[in-house]
Amino acid sequence: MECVVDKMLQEEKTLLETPEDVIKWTNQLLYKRPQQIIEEKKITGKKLMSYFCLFMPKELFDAADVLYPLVVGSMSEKDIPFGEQYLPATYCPIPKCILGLKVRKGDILFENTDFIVSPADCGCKTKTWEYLNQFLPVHVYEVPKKFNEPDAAKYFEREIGRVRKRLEEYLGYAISDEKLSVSIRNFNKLRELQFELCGKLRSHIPCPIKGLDAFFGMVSSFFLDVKDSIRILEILNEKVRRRAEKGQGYNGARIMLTGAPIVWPTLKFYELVEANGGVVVGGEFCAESAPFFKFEDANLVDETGDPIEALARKYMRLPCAVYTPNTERIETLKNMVSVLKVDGIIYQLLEACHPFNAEFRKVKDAMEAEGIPVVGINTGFSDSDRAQIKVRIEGFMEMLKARKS
Amino acid sequence: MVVKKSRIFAGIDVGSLVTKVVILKDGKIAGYSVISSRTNPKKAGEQALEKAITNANCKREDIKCIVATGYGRSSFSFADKAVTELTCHATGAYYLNPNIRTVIDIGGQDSKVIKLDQSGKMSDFAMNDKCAAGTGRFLEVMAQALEVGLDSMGEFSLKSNKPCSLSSICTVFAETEVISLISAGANKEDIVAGLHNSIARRVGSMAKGLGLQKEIAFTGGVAKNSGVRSALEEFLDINFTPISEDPQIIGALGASLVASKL
Repeated sequence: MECVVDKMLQEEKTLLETPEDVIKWTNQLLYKRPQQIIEEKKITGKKLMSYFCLFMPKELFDAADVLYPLVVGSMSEKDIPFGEQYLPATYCPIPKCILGLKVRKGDILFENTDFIVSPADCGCKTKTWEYLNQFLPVHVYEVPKKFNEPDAAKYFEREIGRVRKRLEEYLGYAISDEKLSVSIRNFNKLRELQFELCGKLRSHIPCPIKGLDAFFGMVSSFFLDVKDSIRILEILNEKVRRRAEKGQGYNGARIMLTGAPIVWPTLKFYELVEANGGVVVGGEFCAESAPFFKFEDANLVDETGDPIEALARKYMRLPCAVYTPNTERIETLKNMVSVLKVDGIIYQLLEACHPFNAEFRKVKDAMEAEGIPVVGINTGFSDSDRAQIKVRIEGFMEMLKARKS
Repeated sequence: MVVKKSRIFAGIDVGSLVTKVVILKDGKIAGYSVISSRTNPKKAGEQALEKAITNANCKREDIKCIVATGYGRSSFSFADKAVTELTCHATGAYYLNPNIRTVIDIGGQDSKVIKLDQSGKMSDFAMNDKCAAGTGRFLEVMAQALEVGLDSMGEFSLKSNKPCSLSSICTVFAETEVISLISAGANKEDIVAGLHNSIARRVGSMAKGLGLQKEIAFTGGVAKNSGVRSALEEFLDINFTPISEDPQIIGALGASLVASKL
């Protein structure tokens, strides 16, 4: 497969010098990407498959030689009323937007998507797939919520095996173990680069990359195939590394974001922290550091054994609030605080995201016992609460500043 | 030429409903003003400042430094700095009584609980979520529905023997419940007392979640409502420490104190 990133960079003769340049260029690429994918689909006849959660082993898509971008890149407030044609108003906005986007026919990629694979993770998403299945085939698989039970791993392995079988049936050809092993190796390479960025480079003082740029660097892999994702991260990390070696970057209170998944409509958290003298050095949620369970290493998939067993072992362990008891998430957070030298934690309380909202108290108590202040901030997908969020973030930054003086 | 060293500072607190200004002279409150914010925070701030200057019997050019706070804090080009109402309420309450460790503030659109350390620095806080439940705005809507003056609600509710139970925390639904109670023939006193209890439950749970440490001050416009005050004291099983100034101006006082330290 040809690398889109290198081809475009050569054609445009673009010179990328700083991490900001790389992110700006990547965002332009992501903007053009949907049209490119549609054309590729037309020319090659490949199927387009998508997913709505980090629990999805994308290695399966990659090995099946399908196109696999995340199809909700334009998730926004305007999809909510469409989602509410099926789902209650008092529901999490994430599944409302996913379903609403489909109902509204609002995304060119989603309209060209042939097949969805998604886990039964939280209640709101799980029930949404029953409706989404009326629009296109959705394969739902179970995630054991008590993953430390002795038979949980075996069960999850069988679920992942069934995902593979369902894809093979749909596609009419087999996904070979050899191809899976190649995909696993590629995704491992991507993971190592992502962990270098999130677990190593961002731990520098000053922080060599802004939080929002790191976020975009991480999410680029949601919309690109693995080889292009690797190229973006190689280019980005090289610039960030060079800046870190010079001791340059962003100073200010070092903030970690956590709580409910931060997606496009709530990027205001990054913007407001970084506009008020802080720098977001880490994010413990799906789009950022959740793939690095416990944040000790890149959390790679074992490349030696049976590929399905190896995938299952990795993907069943994420620091997501759907698990119980979720003590591993606290350990992950503690480790992140110490590695990234965090001064304070901002916890997104997203309306009706009950699992993450319910864990707020537990996280706050545990982090404060470590001397790290935590503030919980309620929000939804509307931008109308920006002034209210601003006062909470500014107040928090004032508090951190007063503590240091 | 001898320049007379000015020791006058101003704090402007532009809230969603009311704007307050405090003039601080030699570390003491020399004068203050409280006016309605209406729809123009900038104009309200300027008017309140003029009024406070008159009350303090000083001149605009004597003011060495101005700090703005409240939701309209960024509207003033003439302010030297904008600081959040969280820091300002903490600073104002601690100045009036350095034994204060917790401030409960209920304003027009926000309610907040602030914890202070021994040196008066804010150490933790919590604020209401984005709806109007448990705020001054909630009381204002209910006062209109009941045709009771906002200022007399406190006294009114203290006459109640059996407060109504209101289940809704949402301002819109609570208003519907109030209207149903009126048509069912409930006493206005009991309804108002029920509303105060619902605010106390809402804000009180937030305060308990954060952890209450004595002594505790109650600030903001709603602190003038004796009904909410006693409902909160009962819910939390505490007594508020009286503060020597109008509770509505604590944010502006804090802003003027911040200005004096810039």
